[in-house]
Amino acid sequence: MSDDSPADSSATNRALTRRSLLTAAAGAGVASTAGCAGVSTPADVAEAASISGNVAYFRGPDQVGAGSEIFLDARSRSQYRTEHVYGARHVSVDDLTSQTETDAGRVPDADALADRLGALGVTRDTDVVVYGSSVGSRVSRVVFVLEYLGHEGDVSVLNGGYEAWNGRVGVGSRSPPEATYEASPREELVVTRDWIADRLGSFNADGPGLLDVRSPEAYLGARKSQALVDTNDRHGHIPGAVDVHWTGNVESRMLAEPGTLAGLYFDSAGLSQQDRVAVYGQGNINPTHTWLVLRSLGAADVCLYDGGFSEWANVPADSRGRYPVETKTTTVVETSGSVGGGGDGGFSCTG
Amino acid sequence: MLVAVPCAGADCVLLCDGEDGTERGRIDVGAHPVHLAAVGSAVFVATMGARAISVVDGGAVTQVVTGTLGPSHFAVTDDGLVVVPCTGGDVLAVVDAGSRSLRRRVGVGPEPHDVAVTGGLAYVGSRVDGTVSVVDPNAGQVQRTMEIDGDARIQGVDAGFGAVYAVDQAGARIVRVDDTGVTARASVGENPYEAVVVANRVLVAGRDDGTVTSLTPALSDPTVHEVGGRPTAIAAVDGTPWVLDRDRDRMLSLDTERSIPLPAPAFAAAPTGDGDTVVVAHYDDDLISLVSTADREVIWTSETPADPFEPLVL
Repeated sequence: MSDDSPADSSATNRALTRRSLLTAAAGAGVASTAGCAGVSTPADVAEAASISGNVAYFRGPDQVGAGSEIFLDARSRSQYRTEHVYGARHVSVDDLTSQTETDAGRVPDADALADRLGALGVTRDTDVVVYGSSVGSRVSRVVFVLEYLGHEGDVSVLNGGYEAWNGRVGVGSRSPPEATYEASPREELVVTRDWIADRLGSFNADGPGLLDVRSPEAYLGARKSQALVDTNDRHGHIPGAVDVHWTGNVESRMLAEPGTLAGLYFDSAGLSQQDRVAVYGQGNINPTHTWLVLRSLGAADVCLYDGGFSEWANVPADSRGRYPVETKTTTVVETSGSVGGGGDGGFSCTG
Repeated sequence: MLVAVPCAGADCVLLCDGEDGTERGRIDVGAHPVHLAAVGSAVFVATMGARAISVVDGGAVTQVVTGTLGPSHFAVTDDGLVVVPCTGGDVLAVVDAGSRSLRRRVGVGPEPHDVAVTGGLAYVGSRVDGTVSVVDPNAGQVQRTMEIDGDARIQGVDAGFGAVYAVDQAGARIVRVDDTGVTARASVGENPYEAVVVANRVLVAGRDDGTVTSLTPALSDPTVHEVGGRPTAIAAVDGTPWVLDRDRDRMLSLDTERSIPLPAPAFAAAPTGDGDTVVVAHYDDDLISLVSTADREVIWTSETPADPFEPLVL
């Protein structure tokens, strides 16, 4: 089945979505609805998603799509089939999480990742626009993989996600022409379990920054929090890490206000814009969002612990001393919601 | 005689003249110092708000990084290893007292708080999973992990009579353990914190019900002393147990039931080793006192920086 060629009537019907109608009306709507209170046109949505100022990666719909970029759709395959940016290729984020074991811990499997991008027809110098339903971690993982593999073309993120797109759309799916992605991994973008273990006691003090992007409940290892991730042998966080839940990066499908985010990370969380900062989460998808946001805000040296807490928490029992877990801290930066996890007896020696 | 007092709220150790309580100096040691240990010529400081301990020696303060938050107590092995539970994490730090360096960390139950050494092994209790880990500090290995109870919260861990007594704060009980496992259990008063071994008895204060439970070393034949108030700690002075009260400004002899008036409620104490005197910390009032239990009087009282913890007499 070729792209944009509905195979049957049901596909045709699916094509008649609200998005398609709005997109079809976009040309006239820009002019005709101006001044109509309460009516939001596709052009309004697109404009709202535009990014101004010195923010990297994130671009509004009117700031992309002018040339030969390849759009990568990071939504579910069914969403993609229903409708997508015209010419976009579907990328399965789960295919971009491959890791390989080293003595120092898990790292991204560059060969496997390059194969996946090559299968999408992406080469190292391709300009790429990544989008999802929103600007969440499925999108940021794709960006991370591209950057990790040493991508030389431009990489942009469609701010506002597909909902903000007001350009041409396609339906159905087709196999893109394959290419060979010649990876040149940028090892400085990742850190390993042992890199962290060797620096315990220095994070967010006289050493690098370390940022945990999980929920405060998981970070604190609060009672009952094991239900959040029952595959972890231990609960809590890597010693010295500051917690800023990554979901605070997004607001209504768009990047949260950049000035607010800068205040959150570089003021409240105390991270340095110049010095090295390592981010981690439970796995290797969600933390790439904070990795991306920090880079977009101009942080000079942000890296990802790809093994994540799932690796750290589940080391063999006789290695736990080298890879300890903390459950107490004074540094949780609240983004939204409550910290929770209280009532566990506190952190004191007075009883 | 010199009295050193970790002042948790001021991040320093206060030094006082034992004769009259005159301040001799303050040493900045890092965040939230709570306990001290004399090891050779040095004083080790458990700075619970840091990922390091401090060592004071020769007028200098050095840090030994534990890498994990919450160094809370010390115990020292015969061969000069200082073991330090890191309460904010899940490890026991093993520090070489000679080189003042971290030898290793050993993974134990989460939020380990207190530690005791007997027979060359370190016993560490967990505040979270209610286990007691038996660690060989030299080998850096956990030899045994004893499940006390899933709901247990192990606070105090104290050595005596060839065994270790672990206090379950949540379950209001005490267990006797050795390297073979749990050998005895007994109920004690509500909200206990630590056990004190005095003469041939094991004593545990129940902070919430105003009791002190006295047991044999085998944890049999309990006698419950209803002392009232909020008994927080027990100080053994010249073989006699004295009960410190967090709510009432007095200390009470458990043997004679006579009390000594104090200038403020007491939190912790350290016998001077010089007959019948004891240094008492009034945590909530930022005071310390030297008390004579024989004369039943306060010899001196001095102001301290915020939150004076357990004194060390040098």
